[in-house]
Amino acid sequence: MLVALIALLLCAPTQGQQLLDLRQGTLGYVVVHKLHEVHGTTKQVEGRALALPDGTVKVQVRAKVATFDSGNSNRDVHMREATREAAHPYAEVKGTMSDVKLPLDGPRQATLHATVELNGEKHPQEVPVKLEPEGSGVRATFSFPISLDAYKVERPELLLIKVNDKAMISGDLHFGNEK
Amino acid sequence: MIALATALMLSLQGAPAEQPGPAQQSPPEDVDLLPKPAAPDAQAVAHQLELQSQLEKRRTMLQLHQVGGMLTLATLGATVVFGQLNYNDKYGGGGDTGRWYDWHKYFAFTSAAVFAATGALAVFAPSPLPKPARLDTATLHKISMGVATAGMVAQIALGFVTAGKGGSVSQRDYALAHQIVGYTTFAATAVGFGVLTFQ
Repeated sequence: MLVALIALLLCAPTQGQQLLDLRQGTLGYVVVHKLHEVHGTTKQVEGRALALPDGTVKVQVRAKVATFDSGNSNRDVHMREATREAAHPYAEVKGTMSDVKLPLDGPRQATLHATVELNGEKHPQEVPVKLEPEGSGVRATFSFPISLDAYKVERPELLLIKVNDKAMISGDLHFGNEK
Repeated sequence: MIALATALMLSLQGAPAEQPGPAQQSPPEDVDLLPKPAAPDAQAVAHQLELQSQLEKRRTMLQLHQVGGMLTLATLGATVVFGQLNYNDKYGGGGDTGRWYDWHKYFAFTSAAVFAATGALAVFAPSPLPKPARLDTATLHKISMGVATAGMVAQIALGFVTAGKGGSVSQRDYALAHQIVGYTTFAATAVGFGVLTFQ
C-alpha cells in the first residue's frame, strides 16, 4: 500500500508540469546485410513524457526486445540472442529536450539529449525528433543510427558475411494526456 | 508513517519545478518516468544463463547450417549437371560411353550426405524460445526444404532402381522420372536457400 502510494506520488506531476503517456507507437530497427535489409518493428511500446514549466521535457520510451518482429521468427530469436535479451529484456531511449512548450502551436524539430540502452550497454545519443501537435497530445517521430559494435552486439552473419555495424533505430510515437 | 512518506515525496516532487536549472542540466540517466522492471530473482538469473547458453549453441549450429546450405547447393548443383550429362550421354545420342556416370554417382552420394548433415544441424539445434506458428520466410524455408528432403529420398530410391534397370526398355522412363525429381529437388533447395538469403 505504502509502495503504491509512493509510486503514485512519484509519477504525479506537480502544478505546471504535464505528464503525457504513450498512447500508441512503433519502434523499429533496420540492419543491413550485403544481400538484404532486415526491418524489425514492435508496437508494444511503453513511454512517458514529463513537460516541465521551463520548457524541459523528460522522455522515457522502452520496448521489450522480444516483441520486435522482422518477419522471420528464426531471425528474431537470433536477434534476441545477439542482444542477450534474457539478461537485458528492454531496449530503451530516455533523455531530455529543451525549449518545448506544450501544447505545441505547430510542427517543430527538437533534439533529445538521450541515453540509449541496448544489450545492457548505455550510450549518450543526440536524437533529432520531429514534434507535431495531434489532438491534445503530441506525435514524435525520430530516426538515428547506432553502432552495433559500440553496444557490444555480436553482429549476426549470413553466408559468413556479418551485417553492417551501423543500424538505424526509428520511432513514431503518439503521446496523450496521462491515463 | 504514510503521512511522513507523503510529505517527503511531495517535497521531492516540488523540487524540479522550483529549480528548473538543475533539472535542465540533469544527465539523461536521471530520467525515470516508467516503473523499473522487477529485478530477476536467483532462479530467474539461472534460467537466463541456461537460456543464453542454449541460444549460443543454437547460433553455432545454425551458422554451421548456413555453411552446410552453401555446400548442399553446390554439390546438388553439380549432381544435377553431371546427371544431365549422363542422361544425354546415355539417351541423347552421346554414345553411351558412361563417362559421366561415376561423377554423377559420387556427387549424388556427397550431396545426400551434406544435405542430411545440414538438415540435422537445423533439426537438432535447441529452440528454447517459443516461436509463433505463422507463414514467414523461416516457414517458407522449412516447406521448401521439406519438399527437397522428400525429393532426396525419392532420388536415392529412383537412382538405385534406374541403375538396376540396365538393359531394360523401362530404364529410360525411370531415368526421366529421376531427372524430373532431381530438378525439382534442386529447385526446392535453391528456393529454400534463397528465401532466407535474399529476404
